[in-house]
Amino acid sequence: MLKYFMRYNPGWWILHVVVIGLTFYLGHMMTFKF
Amino acid sequence: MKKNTLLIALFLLAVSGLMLHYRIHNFMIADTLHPGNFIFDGTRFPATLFPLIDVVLVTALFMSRKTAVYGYLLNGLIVIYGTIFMAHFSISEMTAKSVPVSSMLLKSTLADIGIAWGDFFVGKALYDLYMRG
Repeated sequence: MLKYFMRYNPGWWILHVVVIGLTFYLGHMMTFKF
Repeated sequence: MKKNTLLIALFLLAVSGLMLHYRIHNFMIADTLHPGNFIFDGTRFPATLFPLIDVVLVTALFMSRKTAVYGYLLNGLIVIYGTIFMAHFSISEMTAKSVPVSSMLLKSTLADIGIAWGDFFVGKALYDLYMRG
C-alpha cells in the first residue's frame, strides 16, 4: 500500500494537503451577503 | 521575444483583474452602524488577495524557465479558485435578487470566468514555449 503512496514526492502530498485544507477553509469562510 | 509578449499579456490580465476586483469588491466596506467607518470583509478579501498573488508571484515565477512550472501551477490554482468563487458569488446574487431565467446567462459572472481561463491559457502557452526551447 505504502509504495503506491510513495510514488509521489513528499512535496506533492504536502502541497495537496495544504491546498485541500485551504479550499475547505475558504469554502467555510465565504459568506456572500446581499 | 514571443515570451515577453505572452508575459506582458499575462501581467496585463492579472493587473486588470486586480484593479477590477479592488474597485468592485473592495474588502473595506462602509459600516452602516457607524457612518464614516470602514470594516474589513473577510469574504471579499480573497478577491483582492488572489489577483495580487497573480500579479506579483505568478509573473515573477514565469520570468525564468526554472520556476515557470511553479508559476503555471499557481496560475492554474488561482484560476480554479476564481472560477469556483465567482460562480458561487453569481449564484448567491441571482438567488438573492431573483434574477429571471432569461437573463441569468448574461447577468452571471460567466464572462469573467472566461477571462480568467484566458489568463490560464496565456500562462499555458508561455509554459509550453519555455519547455520547447
